[in-house]
Amino acid sequence: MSAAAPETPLIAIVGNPNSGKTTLFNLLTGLKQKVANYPGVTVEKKIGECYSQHGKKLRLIDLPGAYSLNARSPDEAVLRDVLLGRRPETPRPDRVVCVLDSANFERNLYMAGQVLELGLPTILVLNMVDVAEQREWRIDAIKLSEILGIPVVKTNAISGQGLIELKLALSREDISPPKWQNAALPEGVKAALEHSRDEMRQAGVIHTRSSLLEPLYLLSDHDPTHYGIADTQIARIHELRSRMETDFPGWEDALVAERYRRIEELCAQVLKRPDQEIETITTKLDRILLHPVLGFVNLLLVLGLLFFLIFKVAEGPMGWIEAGFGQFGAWVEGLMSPGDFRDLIVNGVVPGVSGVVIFLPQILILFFFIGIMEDTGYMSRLAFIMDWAMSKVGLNGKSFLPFLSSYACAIPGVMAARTIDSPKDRLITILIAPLASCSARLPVYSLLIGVLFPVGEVGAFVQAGIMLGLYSLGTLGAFFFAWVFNKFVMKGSASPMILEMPSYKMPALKSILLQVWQRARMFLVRAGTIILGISILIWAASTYPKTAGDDSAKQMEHSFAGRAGKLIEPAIAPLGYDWKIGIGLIGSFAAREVFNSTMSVVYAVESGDDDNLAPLRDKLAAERRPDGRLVYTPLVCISLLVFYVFAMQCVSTIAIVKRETGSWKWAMFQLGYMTGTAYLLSLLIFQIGSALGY
Amino acid sequence: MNENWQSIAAIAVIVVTVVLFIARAAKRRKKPGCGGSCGCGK
Repeated sequence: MSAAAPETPLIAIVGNPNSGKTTLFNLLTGLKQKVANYPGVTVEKKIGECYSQHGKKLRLIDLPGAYSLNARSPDEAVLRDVLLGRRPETPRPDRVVCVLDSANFERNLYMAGQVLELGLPTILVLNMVDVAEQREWRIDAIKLSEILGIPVVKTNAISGQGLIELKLALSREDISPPKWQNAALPEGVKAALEHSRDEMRQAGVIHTRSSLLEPLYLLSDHDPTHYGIADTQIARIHELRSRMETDFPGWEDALVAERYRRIEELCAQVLKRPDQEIETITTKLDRILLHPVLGFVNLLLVLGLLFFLIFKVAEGPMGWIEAGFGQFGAWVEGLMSPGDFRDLIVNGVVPGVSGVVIFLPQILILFFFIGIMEDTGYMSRLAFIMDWAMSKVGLNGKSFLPFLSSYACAIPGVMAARTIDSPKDRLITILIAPLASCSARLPVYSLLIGVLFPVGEVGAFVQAGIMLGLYSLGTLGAFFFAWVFNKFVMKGSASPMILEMPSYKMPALKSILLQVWQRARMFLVRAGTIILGISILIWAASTYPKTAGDDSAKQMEHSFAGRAGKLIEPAIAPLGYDWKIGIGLIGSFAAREVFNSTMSVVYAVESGDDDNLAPLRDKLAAERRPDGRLVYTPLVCISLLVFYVFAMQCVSTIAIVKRETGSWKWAMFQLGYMTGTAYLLSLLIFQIGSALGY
Repeated sequence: MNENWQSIAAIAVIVVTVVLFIARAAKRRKKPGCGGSCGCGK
């Protein structure tokens, strides 16, 4: 994306979660967008470019979805801060596009009203008009525009309906500030807020020109971490807030009630709905999908289908990638004379990188499926269904959403736990989140399932069943530990969950494909940087120091990696692992998927040049111990799979947990309990299995 | 490239890799987080 000129207007897209805000952003910007982080927080910052209907270049920023500007999480704090112009790296937007879910018009107006109060030129977008029409809701957009004094556009982001009208509205430079009055505050509260504003100005918390809304939102901030506010200023804000609560008890509730009263007044003028609620597809589907039994059965079917697709559909592209890397390795081998550099490429870089990249199709299918579930509205139902199960272990569905994010990556899952109000629930959620099988585990699972059941011997259904079993094992483990922590480590009652159920809608394929492409790019960048680097280091550790002679097996044993594997062999032998698996375990301590790279390099270096291009799973399946027994017996594969279900093996997650909990104590506790459980269960599986003669 | 030059080139690649990893670790110490490349999209 080219750097935009400073005079290019910045337009913020805001709205409630599930209002179709991001779909609209993707529709407007297409591939002309880039994703970064807001400095200091791991909240995604999406900026893109588009052209108005009159050909004028516009910069769009997709702000996190929220139900109000009273922040309860870092995402919502980012939204509040950008709109108030509090973030130094992001200028205050010139205009705002406020997206409302027309089918939840009244509820969405709460945040829209707060945005209008800020006085920024705003375009109101009534999205998902088709769903509202199904419910026979009629919103008079013309009247709404007259009352508010701003453009109001009806859209359907899925079909693109209303996009031209929206682009025409974006072209307008004469949009006046909305005619929406700020919620009236009692004189005493207003005076106290003015006093607080003066004190905050003196303390440097807010800038000198700030309106009364800035101290209002900072004082009514419910984010327990007070993100975006310096630690030194938090104490002062706490003090001012306590004083307000003592002097004017219930002032915040009164303010909320006043806002809803005005929303009701507005709705009476512009919204017509039938006396009796019309039964929509959403209500009909929810009767099945939210049913205590049928809903759970459906959940299992959906996940079963996901894993079936992961094995069946990805099979072909994985073969092409494997063949491509094999041909590249053979080409380099033919091009260069024998030597260390050729060896580094052929036995280090190629197998190391291909060992991870080969699983790209599976990762893409996983993210595509997650995108479909999010976009259709099924993800919220999933949280609702799981609320029942979570309540059995002392948590609620609110903990399930961070847990669900952890199936993609534990890091956003741990971060998302900030939305949980109860400190106890939040800590337990953080502790169990990495037990959800993240996408980094997928390559390891696939490799070992491939060794356990080679292609052709069993159908994709069996492989999908085992994969579902591994994901279920991680989930059950997480529930078990949540129960243990709740019962014995941190006692307390569960807090209730409030969740909005969005209407079901057709997924916006373009938007989902765009998100899948972004994931693919990140995965490939990682493979081309971290995995490449680790592959080079693993090759070096497997190659040096060198031995005299050409015996590659002896060379491997003599190398640094071989010595490290031998060193830990006594500890892992009771689990059924040999010293080469030990090298894989050490190598993958930083990140799980590095197990594949490490084993690829280890076996490529050891096998020499003759058969180093054979698929890794074939090499593992053929690997034998010195006494001739197979290394990767079904029992060893299962033991290793269970180890990877429970072991932490992710340095980035350890670092994030340390930051989120504020101390090394919980990060180390988590590393200890997960690794200990992994070791113990793998030990039990191998020892009991061996005793039974498997 | 003869065998000696290949050995030197391989060692040079390893040294550069180690230096880059150390630099990356030092940068992360200043600004902790996933670094934006774990595939998590954050």
